Formats: sequence, structure tokens, C-alpha cells
Amino acid sequence: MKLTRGEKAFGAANYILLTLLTVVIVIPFWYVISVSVTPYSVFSAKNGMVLFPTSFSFDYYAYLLKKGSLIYGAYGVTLRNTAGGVLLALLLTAMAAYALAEKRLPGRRFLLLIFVFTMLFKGGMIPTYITIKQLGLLNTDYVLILVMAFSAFNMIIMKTFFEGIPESLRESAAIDGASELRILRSIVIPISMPAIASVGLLYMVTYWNDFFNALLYVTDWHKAPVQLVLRTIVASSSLPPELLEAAGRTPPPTIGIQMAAIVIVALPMLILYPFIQKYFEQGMMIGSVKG
Amino acid sequence: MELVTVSRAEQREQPLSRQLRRVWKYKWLYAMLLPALAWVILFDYLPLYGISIAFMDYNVIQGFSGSHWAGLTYFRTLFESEMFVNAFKNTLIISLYKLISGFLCPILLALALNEIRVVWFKKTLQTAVYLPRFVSWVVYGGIIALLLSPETGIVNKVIEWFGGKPAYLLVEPAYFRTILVVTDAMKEMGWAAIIYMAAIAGLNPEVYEAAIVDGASRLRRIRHVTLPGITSTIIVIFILRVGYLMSAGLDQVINLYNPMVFEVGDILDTYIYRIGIEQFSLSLAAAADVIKGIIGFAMVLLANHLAKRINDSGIF
Repeated sequence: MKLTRGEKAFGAANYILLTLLTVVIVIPFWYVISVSVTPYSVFSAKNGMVLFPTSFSFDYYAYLLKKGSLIYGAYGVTLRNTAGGVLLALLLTAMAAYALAEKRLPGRRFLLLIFVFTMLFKGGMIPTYITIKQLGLLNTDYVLILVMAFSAFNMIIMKTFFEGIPESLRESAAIDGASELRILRSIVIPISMPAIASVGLLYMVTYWNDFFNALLYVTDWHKAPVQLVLRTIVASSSLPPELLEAAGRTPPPTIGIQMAAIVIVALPMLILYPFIQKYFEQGMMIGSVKG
Repeated sequence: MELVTVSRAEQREQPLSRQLRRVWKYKWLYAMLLPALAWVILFDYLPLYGISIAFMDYNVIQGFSGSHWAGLTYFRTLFESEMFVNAFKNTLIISLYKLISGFLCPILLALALNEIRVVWFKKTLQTAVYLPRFVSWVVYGGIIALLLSPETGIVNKVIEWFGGKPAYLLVEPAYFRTILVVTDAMKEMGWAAIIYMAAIAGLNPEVYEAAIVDGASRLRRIRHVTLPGITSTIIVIFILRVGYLMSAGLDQVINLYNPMVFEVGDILDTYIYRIGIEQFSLSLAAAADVIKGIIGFAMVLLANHLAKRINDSGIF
């Protein structure tokens, strides 16, 4: 294929612009890591320009991860919520999606409407808050697991996937005398692994990154997930008294603490996502088939 | 299996016992549906009943039954409240800005990425632009605050380098909306581009080959082959975004705003949070929720109706 000069210029400009955009998006993350390992004396001497760390210090991390720090408990809460939440959410979502993927199910259209309506009209923050309160869930250990355990949107992604499984596959198993449960376990679930993985990972990111539900429903610091603790560290330049108390000393300069805390909270997802990226892309594509 | 062959007209005339047998046949599927159904009833439909507190002098101690009806008092209070009107206005303005940037950027990005022929380079770029999607707004907000900080922030360094005056950007009303729109695009555009990339990947390669044979340049191929090919995807995404017009980005705003920029940055969701949860005026905040919900609902229906007329591809 021969390229004209205009096309070559277009191609080159495209490469340069995309590279620039990528740098603009990635540099902030790099900078945060760099600040988190730079001693405060160097940071202030260079007036904040520490894109490449010249001297290293892990004091901020040591301070945040000191024995008895609130972060450990919060991290535990987040890990527990994420693990438990993803399991519960997958169970609810996959079962509903499987049932609604059956085109002959009597009342299917009405049942589907019940779910779709929840995407269109919501009670809103305060009515939901009142409901959670009335249900006695406020400040419980499992409130965050419960409130994020289902999304009609994810259910529809999975339903679309299940609908794509050839009917003949299940029918031949049924003729061979396999029970509904058996068909589900040994045929449907194995071929649905890509959909289960991508929806599961979507839920995982939701659970790991949630802070607003925690802000609403959890007031006890011992039940707070790590995002909420991070928020008190970065939102107010002063540290939460609990954290200071736990550390039992005056804090070092806060900017480094803030950045180290950000790294501690965000790192697991940032390390994981390049490996699981393909499942996310798959999930989006399954979803887009419908459009 | 014989039930499959029964036509629709006959189905309606079936006696009740046969209908019930048909339902019974699918008992396991109904059972599988039950947990999710229970969930939406508890967490989506019960809150709809909770909306009634917007029409009451709701009192937490007395609960629903002990509180008096207040009619539309709280709605009237809202429309007389400068702060609510301000939040309402900001929600629409910020949403509209984001509707434009958040809608165009991913499409442009997908088209640009699609023109990259070196596979490893394309993959690297993709992985990099998805990155911010995987952190929370607490994390991203903290990062932005660092970049924009008055003394040590990189952005101010760049401004000085170009001869400008450094400023405390996050407390400056003139810049706040721009910051919201730009950081929203930076965080979400890579991820939002995936759906267009998928749509482009699904286009028929023969049409491209024909266009090349006909001597169409790259730009022409984008305009006359790629863009028309992904129009229905673009419309569906646009509808979804219009439906979210009343949500201007709670997670983002609540992590970036401060009282200095309330005038330009306070949105309905942050207003509702402050009034309802922090100040505990539950009925007043719920009334704001109702207004937000109804307008949002109307927007989705309207957008869907328009899409059906333009392109015959509504989403429901």
C-alpha cells in the first residue's frame, strides 16, 4: 500500500498526539509514587519537582504501616468486602441472568421490566438511606457487601452472553438425561467463564473503590473500608485523630504521607489490571453486542 | 418440549391448570431469580416508598407513621432556596460540558487508536489510558490536588514556565468547572473508548478494502466507512449519557470541591448529601432527590424516543 505525503503526516501526527495523551494520563501516577519515596528535605529543596526520585526514603510507608495503624483494619475490611461482595454479586447476577435468558419462561417480559426499571428511576440518596436505616443495616459489618451486590446492568451483560449459548448444546444434554442443575454445572458455567470473569472483575473494582456508600452507611471507624480512611488522609490536610493516636507521635509532613497512602490503597488494582484487562474488554464487548 | 410449538393465540386460551403446569415446569428458573428479585425489592423498590418522606415532616424518632404530612412545603422551600437553585443550575451546566467532552473524546480516541498499525504499541497505549479507571475518585482526587497545589504542583510549574502567574487552582471559581471536565475526560476516556473499538473491530473489512481500491484516503475512510459503521453505537451511548444528565459526577465533585467553589461546583448530589446526611434535613433533601429523579427519568424517555425516530435503535 502506497502512502501519500499527507497520509504519512497524518500517521505521524496521530502517533505523536496519542503518545502525548498517554504521557499526560500516566505521569501523574508516576509522580505520586516518586513523591511518596522522596524524603521531605529533598522534596522541598527541589520545590516539588521530583519526577525522578534521586534519594529514597520509605519513612512515609513505615509511618502509615506502623503496628496498630488504622490502615490494617481498614484494609482487612476492604479485602473482606471485596471477596464476599464479588461472590455474592456473582451468585445473584448469574442466577438471575440465566433464568431470564430462557426465552420461554412465562412472565419473562414483565420480570425483565422489573429489573430494567431500576436502571431508569431510582429512589435517590436519602430515600435509600432511610430504607437502609429502617432495615437495621446502618453500621453493620455486611451493609457494604449487601448494597453493592447487584447491578441490573451487569445482569443484562450476562444475560446477553447466556442467550448466545447454542440451544442445541443444552438440549442434547437434557436428552442424555442430565438434570437442570447438572447442565448448569457441567455445560453452562464452563463456557461462560469469560462472562463470569469480566462481570466478576467489574464488581471487584466497584467494591474495592467504593467510598461513597461507606461514607453514607458506615460511621464506626473500625468498620470503615480503606478508601474512607484514605479520604480522611487526603481530603483534610490534617490527619484523622485516630490515625495519629494509633501512631502515637506527631506526623511527618503530610504531602508524602498522603501520596504513600494513595499508593497503598491503589496499588493492588493497578498491579492487577494489566493482567485482567482482557476480561474487562470482553465484558464491554458482550455488553455492546446488544447495542 | 411440546409446549414450544403452541402458538401465541392458543397460549392465551389455555386453561389455568395448563398455565400453572407451564409455570411449574420452570420452577427452578424462578427459584434462581428469587434472590436478585429480593435484592431489587429491598434496595431499589423499598426506597421508592421512602420517597414519601419528601411530602412529610419526617422525623427519625417517630418514623413514617408518626410523621405529619407536609404536602409540597419542602418543594416550595427548595425553589426559594438560593443554594438549591444554584446546585440545580451547576448540575445542568457541568453535565452538559461533560456530555460534550465525555462523549467526543472517547470516539476520537477510538478512531485514533484504530489507525495505529503497530500492535504492541497500540496495546501499550490502551493499557496506559485505561489506568485511571481502576482507581477511586478518592485516589484520583488526591493526585489532582497534588498536581494543582499552589507551591509544589506541576501544573503551576508549567503555567509559570509559559510566563503565567501561579494560582491556587482548586479554590478559584473561574477554573473549577474546567478542572472537573478535564479530569473527568482524563479518567474515563480510555475506558469509554473500548466500546467504540469493539464496534470498529466488528465492521466488515471488505468495505475498507473496497474503499482503498477506490482510492479513498485515510481521513476519507474514517469519515465514510468507520463513522457511519459505528453510528448506532454512538447513538446508544449518547442516550445513556443523556439519561445521566442529572448526575454530574458525585464521586468526583465531593472529592475535589470546597466551600470556596460552591458557587460554580456544588451539584444536586453534593447538595443532597450535605443537607440530608450532614445537616439531617431529611425531608428537604428527599424532595431534591424526587426532583432529580423525575427529571432524569423524563430525560431517558425523551432521549430514547428521539433515538427511535432518528435511527430506529432505541434501547428499550
